[in-house]
Amino acid sequence: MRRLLVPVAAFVLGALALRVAVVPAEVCPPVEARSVRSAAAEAAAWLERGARPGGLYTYGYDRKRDEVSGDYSITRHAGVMMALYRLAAEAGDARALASADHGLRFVRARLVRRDGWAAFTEPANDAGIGASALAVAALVHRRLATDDGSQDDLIRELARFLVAQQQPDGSVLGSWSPSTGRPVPGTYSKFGTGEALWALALVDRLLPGEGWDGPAKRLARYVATRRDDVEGYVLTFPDHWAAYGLAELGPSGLGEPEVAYARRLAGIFGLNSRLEAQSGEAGLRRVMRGEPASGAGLGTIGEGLAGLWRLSVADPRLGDLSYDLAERLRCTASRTARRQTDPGEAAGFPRPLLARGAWFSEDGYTQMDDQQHSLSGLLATLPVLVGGRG
Amino acid sequence: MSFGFLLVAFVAALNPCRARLVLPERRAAVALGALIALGTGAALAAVGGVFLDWLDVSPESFRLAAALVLGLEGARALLVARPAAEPELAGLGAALVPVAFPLLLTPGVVALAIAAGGDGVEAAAIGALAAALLLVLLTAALPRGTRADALLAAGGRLLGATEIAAGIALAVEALRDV
Repeated sequence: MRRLLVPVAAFVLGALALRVAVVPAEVCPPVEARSVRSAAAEAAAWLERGARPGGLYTYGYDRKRDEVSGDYSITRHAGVMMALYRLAAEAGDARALASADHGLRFVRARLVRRDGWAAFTEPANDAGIGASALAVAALVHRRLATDDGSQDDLIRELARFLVAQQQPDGSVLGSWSPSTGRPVPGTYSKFGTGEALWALALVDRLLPGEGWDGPAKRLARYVATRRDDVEGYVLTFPDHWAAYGLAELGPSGLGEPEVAYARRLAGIFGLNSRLEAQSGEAGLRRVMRGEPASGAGLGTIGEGLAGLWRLSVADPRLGDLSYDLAERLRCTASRTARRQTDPGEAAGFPRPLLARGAWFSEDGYTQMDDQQHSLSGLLATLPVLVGGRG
Repeated sequence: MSFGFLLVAFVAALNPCRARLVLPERRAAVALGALIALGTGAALAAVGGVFLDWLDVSPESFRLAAALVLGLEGARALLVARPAAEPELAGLGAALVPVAFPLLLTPGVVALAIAAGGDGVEAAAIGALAAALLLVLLTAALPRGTRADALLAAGGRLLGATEIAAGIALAVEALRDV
């Protein structure tokens, strides 16, 4: 019978190896709407406290070196504005509105205008589509928050830039060159394509009947059917912006290819959420899964899941995904809220107000998009927590 | 997981051709061992969902683990067509060792049963496992000989490849599901 020990030992050791390496526990602490609202408010407060002269925001902070980053990104600037306007639109937060309007001054000072369109760009550089697309998304949320139509013409100008970048196959080129006065051929923006999709879908919702639906639907078809091949992604690219865009287009704007793509996207975000829930800051989890996702990483998973959940509730063709998407979303939101630096923890750092409400990487750095994406992801989870279907 | 998929996967994981090369010649012990394997597999499928909950593992993630087990087990069958003889308990005890374990309750069978339980398709899993075990019993009735053993070894390799394919299909499903 001693020989029987070999298969028994192989069975037990194999099961242990699977547990450690492949299926560690997915840790999803319970979560309530109240704690999610509080975490979102703290994230927004970090961004608001970062308002600097000239319409800028604090870009990043290294708490170990006590250093504020001197870098800046206009695309992330627009993303921060979008998240703050969104908070203003969804929660009536006046401070968030004022802080986002602070950033709008920076946008208006960096517009390049040609042929009836406007791009948000640094004047000497190529104009990337991402910054303009997120500026559109920001301004649409501003309109939803305030009902003030004073920026509608700017929304149209920025959206026309996105349409000017669109190719006959529906794709949008990633940048426009001021030196040639033309879109840069063959360049695609990793996130800009999805951002443009969302922006055009939002403009169509805000300004229906102006013809924005055509470009948005052509872009959605490209994203759903050709983007991964053309832009070189082996698996479906986990694009939370595209998830927002599909949700915004809604069931009437989506054909079967887009629904099939939404399903694939849900699978990728579900996988990312599960893998993230298996990660940890110490022990075997840290060894097997590496560094836990950054605030931006957690936030984008939440944003992607939330966009697709919203679509699954509205579109019966995806209704079977609602429950699982809601479950992953709750888990991601709970982990996002728990990873945030709370006031007590922040008090232990040299500048507590630059630490409080932020998500730091293991090396002690946080960046505006950590807070921006987490804020957006948490806000997008609230409908699930306050009685949404699923 | 459909019944069809489970049937193919259980047949591949049980690998009747490969098992035939080492199953005892005592028919009663083999039949009783198959019943024990069916009962254990059914129990695992029935508690699979609760078990995965207890482990804090989502069914989708466990499917990936089951896929890995099937892939590795299939590769072993593909590379080593003739398994080594297993120690036997005397009399009907052989139904327990080696028939039920380790020959029929393979890691792949156990992982599949739990995965099916996690997915809520326990009935389909039990039906598919019963059909696959019947195939094992039918194969066990085949006469042995040089030529027959060569054919069984080739069949074992083919089922090993099938098990790898089932593992890949399960992995793809696990990656696509939310």
